[in-house]
Amino acid sequence: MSTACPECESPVQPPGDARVSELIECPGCRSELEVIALTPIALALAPDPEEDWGE
Amino acid sequence: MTGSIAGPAGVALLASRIRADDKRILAALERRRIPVEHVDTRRLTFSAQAVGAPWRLVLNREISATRARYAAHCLEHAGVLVVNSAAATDVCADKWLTTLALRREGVPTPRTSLALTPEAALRELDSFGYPAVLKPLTSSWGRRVSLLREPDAARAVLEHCAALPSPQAQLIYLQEYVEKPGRDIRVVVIGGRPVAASYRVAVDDWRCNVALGALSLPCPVTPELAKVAMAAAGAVRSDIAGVDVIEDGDGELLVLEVNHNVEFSGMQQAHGDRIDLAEELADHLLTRYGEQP
Repeated sequence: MSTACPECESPVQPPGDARVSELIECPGCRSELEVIALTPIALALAPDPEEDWGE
Repeated sequence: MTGSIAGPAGVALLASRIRADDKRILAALERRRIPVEHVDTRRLTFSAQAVGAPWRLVLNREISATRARYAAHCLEHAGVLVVNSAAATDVCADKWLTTLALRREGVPTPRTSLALTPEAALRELDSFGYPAVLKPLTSSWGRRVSLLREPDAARAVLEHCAALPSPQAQLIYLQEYVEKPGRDIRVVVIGGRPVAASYRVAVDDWRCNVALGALSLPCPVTPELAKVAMAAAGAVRSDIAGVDVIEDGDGELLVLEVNHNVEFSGMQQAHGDRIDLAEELADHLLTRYGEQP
């Protein structure tokens, strides 16, 4: 099921095995998007990386 | 404890963002028929009075080092087995504490110093020598890691450090710059066993972080590499560890750091179907899960 990018409204097709909190890239504007719900699929702009993020 | 607790799952994978590695781990655990759920760290709160949690084991994959550390302590306080442990996460999340732990156990590292102010760092560099590498204590992916080739560059970088608002940014971690063959080595150690290694070959950068575009290529786990990687993971008491190793001009292996929240997509791609790191990790978690009462 596709949905619209919250940034540019391009259609975005998350993978079939998408999980909540997974990150995907909008094919239209290259924004990093976070899957925030699965049924129905909902996307939000992913938060910017913070100083203490990493491995 | 409150948050997105969906039920009495046996294992929780704690993460505020699900990376490809995390999806592979979740799938590998599900194939083993362990009750597993993803728990979004951003939604959790903990009560100091509460004892008990709905999971027997938590795999801590939180991307924020601060949240990872505090979540690990809270969960252990509630009686949950956390992998990696809070103590290991504390050490690995701080490069200086990692260096101290490695040195205590006799693990070879490059020469390293900590200056408690940027001004002290500039004075220290007179005797420490150039080139030197300045690293933030808590950052990852090579961010703000600076190569100081001479005093003018050091002065400029240290002025920027002094202007940063975080008190921790005023602590200056200095490491000897080791001439390397354009690459370093990442070894994944799981349960004390070096499972796989990859060369990380720098591309258009002196740093070898995959996040900065370095290429991952398969690396054989030689007995020497296995020995130093196991010693490093043991020194920081890390159940699952990404050990970064550098080869100096004499071929000696030196440990740069140990990562507690290992990203292994690059290494997995490098090894193809010869090894499955998510499966290895799930096997280890299954063992630890079985050890719990």
